[in-house]
This record gives sequence, structure tokens and C-alpha cells, in this order.
Amino acid sequence: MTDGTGVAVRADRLGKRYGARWALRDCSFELPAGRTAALVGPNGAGKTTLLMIAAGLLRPTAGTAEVTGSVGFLAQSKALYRTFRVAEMLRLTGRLEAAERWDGAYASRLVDEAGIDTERRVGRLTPGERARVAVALALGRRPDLLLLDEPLAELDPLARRQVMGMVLAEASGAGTTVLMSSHVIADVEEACDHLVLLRGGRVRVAGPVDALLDQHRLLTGPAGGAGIPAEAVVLASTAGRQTTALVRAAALPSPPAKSTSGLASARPGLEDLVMAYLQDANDGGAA
Amino acid sequence: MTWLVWRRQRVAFLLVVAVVLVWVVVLTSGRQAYLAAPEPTDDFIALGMTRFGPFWGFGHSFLLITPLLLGLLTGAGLFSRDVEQQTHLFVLTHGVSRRRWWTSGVLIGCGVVLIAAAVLSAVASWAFAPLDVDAGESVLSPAKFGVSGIVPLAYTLFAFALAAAAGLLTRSALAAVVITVVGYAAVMIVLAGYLRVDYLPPMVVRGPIGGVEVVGGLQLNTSYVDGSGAEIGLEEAFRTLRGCYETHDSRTCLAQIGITEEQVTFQPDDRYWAFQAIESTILLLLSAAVLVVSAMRLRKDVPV
Repeated sequence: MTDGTGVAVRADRLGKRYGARWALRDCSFELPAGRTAALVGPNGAGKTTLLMIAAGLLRPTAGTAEVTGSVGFLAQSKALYRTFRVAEMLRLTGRLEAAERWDGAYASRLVDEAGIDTERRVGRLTPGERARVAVALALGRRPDLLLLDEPLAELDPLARRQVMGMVLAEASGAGTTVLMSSHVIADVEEACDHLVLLRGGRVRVAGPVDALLDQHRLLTGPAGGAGIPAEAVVLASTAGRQTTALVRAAALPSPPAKSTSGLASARPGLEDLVMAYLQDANDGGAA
Repeated sequence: MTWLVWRRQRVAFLLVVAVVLVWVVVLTSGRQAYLAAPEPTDDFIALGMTRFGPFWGFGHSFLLITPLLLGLLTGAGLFSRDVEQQTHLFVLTHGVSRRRWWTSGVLIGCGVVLIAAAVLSAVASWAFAPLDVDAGESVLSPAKFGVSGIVPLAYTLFAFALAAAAGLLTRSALAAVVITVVGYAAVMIVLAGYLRVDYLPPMVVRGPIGGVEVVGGLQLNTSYVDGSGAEIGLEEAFRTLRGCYETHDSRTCLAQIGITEEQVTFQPDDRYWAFQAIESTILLLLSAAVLVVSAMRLRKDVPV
């Protein structure tokens, strides 16, 4: 599905339990094909579990996760054999994969383009080079859906840009859907047009970034002076005499009531939105 | 997947080859030295007093634990290293199922340890043969039985299976080593020390006191028999007759309490292959059991 109209991932009341603990619970969302999506959440929110289920590595305890087309997966550890030469990793992957699934020439070209000598051992590469080799090997499957688990963790800023540039260039060229997890929103803010926010194993927010930002307002004004309808507030915080609140636009009175008219209202940035949903006191169902 | 297992385990496999080569050299030189200057003895205790005693004694002791070493080398890191370093995620997301990942590792590992153990068993039997013939040691003695025939192969297989399974289930090579050493020792002590002598009901011969002679075989117990056919232990008879022994000869004393015969229980040497088959079957079943338990990690309900 690369025509941009289908659904790449559809999770329906997805749940995963390890022993007594639910790593994921009641997760429902759809990721349209062709999107570049950020899977955001604090450590332990269930991001890796969700990606592993989507990659077919784990079976869910409850609900379903449907994935359309072939999947490429990049584990957080980058998971390459450190004693192997890059050329050996390429050869190995060719042996593991079914011939019709594997585009070895493409993977080799990506490694070449990254300027990595294939005679070097994986363990001797910089973290950025290792990440790019791993991405090249994941892309060598020509996946319809590319799953990246914390692809930028432990990378320096230049390497982050290089890895991200490689992923975005190849994905947009092939129409690949990308779902990448991160606990740092700044890493994925520019690249992503879709958001899935996990917290405590539940999907708190999911949807196209533009639509989500349109559905929220960032209100600022003097502390204590304004009565914002409590049901609209995702998160309100007061610093000194200033109150800042991220609110759901749909729950605000329309036209604006007098009580909120003293507040400045702006369209939030993605980081405002994410930070609000990561911090709000409500641990209940999806927003 | 086969290529990957070889490539990943090649250091372990080279170490296995090195262990076998060292043994071949040691055993061959020992045999040559003995043939050059043989020292025939009455039994294996006397053999221990000769200059070939250490060769025979240490040789058998170390050969008995070599299966453990081979199993640890090939098995402990087989899955645990992959899981510790998360590299299994690479394999499992590049067209390889959990089952294929597990099966290829197990099959290649089994193949390597079985070939190594077979070579060792054959070379050990061949190298010790001249000494054993001269010393007349039973093929059922714990040392000889454990290093010859097919039993060493079965022990090696068990050590490998236990190490591989423990490594997969604990996700730790160190834990796999500890579990395998403890498990191997426990199984060996129970089998060789307790169960083996009763794999088949022992043979019993009765005869005049001091006149029962069993040639070969593994002697288990000697006792007295009274006129009614009841068995009386040597120690019990000695306790009863302590006073009598001070003044009379033993036959007279024994006659006083009605003891007329002695009896010897033993396992004859011709049961060697039956015992080898029984013990190997037990070990094979244990190996299969631990591998089956480890295969529960093939269910996708849990992370590998």
C-alpha cells in the first residue's frame, strides 16, 4: 500500500500483558499509508511492545493489529553482529531473506552512499554509521512499512540529521509508511506528519499532526483571573503570575465566553501538545 | 541460517576441535608409551601403582567431564549471546522464524558435539585397550563405562541441550554455565552412582564359603547364606561371631550359626551394550525434555 490512500497500520483495542502487567491496553488507532508517524511516549509507555507487535515479533494478548504489506524493522539496539564486517552483514541478510523479498543491490547502494567502507567491522563503526547500516538493511526489504525503535537514541546531532535524512529520503521516494518511536519529541518534530502518543500503555492522542494542532488551543493569561472550562483543559500550569493551558478547542464555549476572553489564544506547537498530554493528570482513555 | 550459526559459533567450534585434538595427542602418546614398555598388572589398583597410573586415572577422570566442557562451549552461548545482544531481533525481522532460528542452532550444535564425542570415545577406547586388557578391568567399571561406547555421546548431547536451553530461558550465558555444571553433575552422580547398578536385576551365584569366583563383571555385594536360604550380611555375621573368631577359625564359627554358603551379586560384562543403551536412552530423553522446555520460547506470546 503505497498509494497514500490505504491504511498501513490498524490497531483495534490492542493489548499486551506480561505476567500481571499490561504493557499495552486498549490501544486503537489507524496509521494511513504514506505517512511519517512519530510514536511518542515516556520510557516504559509500551512503544517497543507496540512496534514489536506491528513487526510480527510478538502476538498481542488482546485486540488486533493489522499491518498492510511488508515490514522493515530497526531495533533500538540496532541489533547488528558487531564482529561481522559490513559486507558480511549484507551477505548474511541476503542469505536469510527469501530472494524475492530482498533487494541486496539497493541495500549495498545505501551503504555506499553513506560512505561506509564495507570491509570495516560493525563494532568499529561510529553509532551513526552503525545506525545507517542498520537502516540500509531494513530498507533492503523494500518495506511498505518501516518501523524504527528509537532510531536516534545515543546519536550525536550530526548523525541524527544524517540518519533522519536517509530515512526520509528513501521513504518518501518509495512511498513507504514510517512509524518511529522516540521519547524526545524534538527529534521527530520536523519529520513527522502524524502522531501516536502512548502513555501508561494507552494511546492518549493519535492523528495527523495538523489536525491535532487545529483541535487544540494554547491559552495564556494572568493567573487566577480566568475561568477556563475544566473539561476543556488538557494541562494547565501556572508560573509566577502567568497561567498557560492547553485546551481542546471543541470543548471551549463558542463564541468565546467572557471568562476566557482575557486570555491570549494561539495554535499550539507539536511540542506544547505532546508535553501537555505527557503530563496531564488524566490517566483514563484516549483523548 | 546455517551459515550464520557457523559464523557466529566458529570460535566455539574451533575450541571444540582443539579439545578433541589435545585428547587425541595425549591418548595416542599414552598408548604408544605403554606399548613400548608395557607393565602388565593383576588389576586396576595395581595398574594405578605403575607409572601409567596417572595416565589411566587422570585420563578417565577428565574424559568423564569432557562432555560437560564440549556442551558448555557449544551450547552456553548459542542462544544467550544472540538474546543478550538483541541480535536475534535482526534475524527474526529478516525473514527467519523463531522456529527456524532455534532449530538450526540446535541441529548444528548437536551435530558438532556428537561428532566430537564420537571421536573422543573411539580414540579413548582404542588408547586404553592395551592397559585394560593387561589389568583385566571390567568394562562396567564406572570409569571405563563412562568414557567408552555411546554413553559419552549421550552425556555430551545432554550437556549441550541443557546449556542451550538454559541460555535461551535465562537470556544469560553465565547463568547457562552455572545451571549446566550443576545439572550435569547431578545427573551424572545419580546415574553412575545410584541407578546404573540396577538397570537390570543383578545376577546371583551361591557356593561354598570362599569358593565363589566371579570372573569379570561388576561385583556389587557379597553376603552369607544360611541353611534356610536367608541372606546374612558380612558385617552382621562378623558382629555376631566376634567372640568366636578370637578362638576359632571362621568356617567353624560360621557353621555355628548355620551359615553354609556365600553369595555374590554382580552385573556381568556381557550386559555392557544393554547398559549403554539404557543409560543413553535416559540421557536422550532428558536432553529432549530440556529442549522441549526451551522451545516454549518459540511461542510469540513472550519476547524471545
